[in-house]
Amino acid sequence: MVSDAERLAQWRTIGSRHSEEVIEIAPRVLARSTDQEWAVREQLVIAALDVGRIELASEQIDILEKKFPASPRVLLLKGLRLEAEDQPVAAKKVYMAVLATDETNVTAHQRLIAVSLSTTDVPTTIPVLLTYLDNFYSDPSAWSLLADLYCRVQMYAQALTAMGHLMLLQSWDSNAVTKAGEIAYTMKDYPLSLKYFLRAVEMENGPRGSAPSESTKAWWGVKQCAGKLLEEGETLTTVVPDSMSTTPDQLKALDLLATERLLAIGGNDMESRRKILGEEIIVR
Amino acid sequence: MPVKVEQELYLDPSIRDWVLIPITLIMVLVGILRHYVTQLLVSAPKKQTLAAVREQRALARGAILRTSTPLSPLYPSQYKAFSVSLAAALSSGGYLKEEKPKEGEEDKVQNPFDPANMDGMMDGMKNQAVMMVPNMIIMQYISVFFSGFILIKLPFPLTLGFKSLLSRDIAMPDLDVRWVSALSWYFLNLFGLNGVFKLLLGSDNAAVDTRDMSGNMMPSLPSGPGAPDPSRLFRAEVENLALAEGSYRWACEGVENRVLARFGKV
Repeated sequence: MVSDAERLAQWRTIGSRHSEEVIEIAPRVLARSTDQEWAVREQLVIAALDVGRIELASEQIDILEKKFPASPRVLLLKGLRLEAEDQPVAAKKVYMAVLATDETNVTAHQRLIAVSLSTTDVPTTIPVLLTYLDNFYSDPSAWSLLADLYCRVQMYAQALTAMGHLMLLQSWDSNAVTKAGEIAYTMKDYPLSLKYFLRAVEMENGPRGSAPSESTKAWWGVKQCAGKLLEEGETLTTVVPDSMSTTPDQLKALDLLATERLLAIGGNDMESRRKILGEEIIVR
Repeated sequence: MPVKVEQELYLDPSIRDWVLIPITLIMVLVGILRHYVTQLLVSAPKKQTLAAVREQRALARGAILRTSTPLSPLYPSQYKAFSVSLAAALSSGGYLKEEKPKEGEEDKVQNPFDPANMDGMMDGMKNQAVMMVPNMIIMQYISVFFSGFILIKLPFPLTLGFKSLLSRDIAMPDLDVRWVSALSWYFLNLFGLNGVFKLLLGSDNAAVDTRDMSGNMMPSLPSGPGAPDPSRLFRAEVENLALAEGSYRWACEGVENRVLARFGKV
């Protein structure tokens, strides 16, 4: 059984929110004296702001400020409180002040991007995000956000580049590969999309003989791409070199395999799944 | 040859009360004091500028791209674009925190007394001073007042090799090694109280740093004088990137067959 304090510490390290639970657990932990008191208080402030309990957060911020006057971390918490109170302009000023004393404060940079996103439109935020990423390259969530923003303004090629950086940084992340496949599909680069979905399938499934993965998302992608590639007669523009392109035989086999896998993976929506895949089964 | 009879010395109990215990107590207290004095003296780590961070991350960026090449998630033209643009950015000096040095003066040695680098050196000096001064005073005090005192007898036999360690400043060659002199007791404490301090002050205390000295000095080196010139590192990174291109292989190359084989369709 994990103790409350340990659970909080675990959430802090992996950056997981669990705000509702934190609000419940943290006061219990704080009631006993603990050497992690200040970290727990900080966590409690963020959780309280997350669920909109601003009085609770203010109470904790006051305690923290008494202990650490002029600490940038407390300043950031105040900025968060301003954001929660829907005063993004004032919050922005706080973050700018933090950056004036320490221009490498990553959290302040990240909050500025978030504020910019909520107060202005996507095209103004993208340059801010790009400047941030130019300085702090290895922030996967920022690259992921950049890809999303590019998708929102229909700049899919740029989004794919952002996904490329994300995949470099998190080479284990099959969700990122699936996402790249979806972006490539939206761009109508079906051969590339198929490659990404297949790669995601490969990453999600262990070696032959182990139990196959339960996830269907990448398989749906494979199914869609294979279908598109089989029906489409026109030549597609693709970035996949000719030497690596998928042969028609492989396409047919993959199409069948995707249908098979989608039906083999159980779930609640089997009926609708059969209906979607149904026509082809009858044809066969 | 007569069998050596065990030496029996009778130590005055007041030696224990007035020499052994006080020396130990003083050593512990001085260690704790030193911990707090060091905390007062050491200045907070200097904040890096954004440009310096950017310079470091640029190198890491090259390394990330290079290490991924054998199973790269990037499709061929994308890999090419990433690699070429990064190499261009690195060699153009856009990521350097200072202006690119002019040709000819590139090889000038960094000034070791550059004020930007003095802080690190001063911290080291302060630490050493805090370490040295009390040690010298205590050693002097012991050798003046308790020179030639025998304090304890170790409960286990030792070979003659330990004579110089345990019977310092007692000029009795025939004395058994097990008898420990005052000055030796001081040295044993100096090196042996590590565990006690760790217990009292936590693991990253400043009370004992004779042993940690080498550990502390090393990481501070790259920022101080003699740090490798970033523009040179960048040039090396550009070459490495060019070399890595040879091992590039797209992870999605032949993935169709791998997936079909995984599900037994080939």
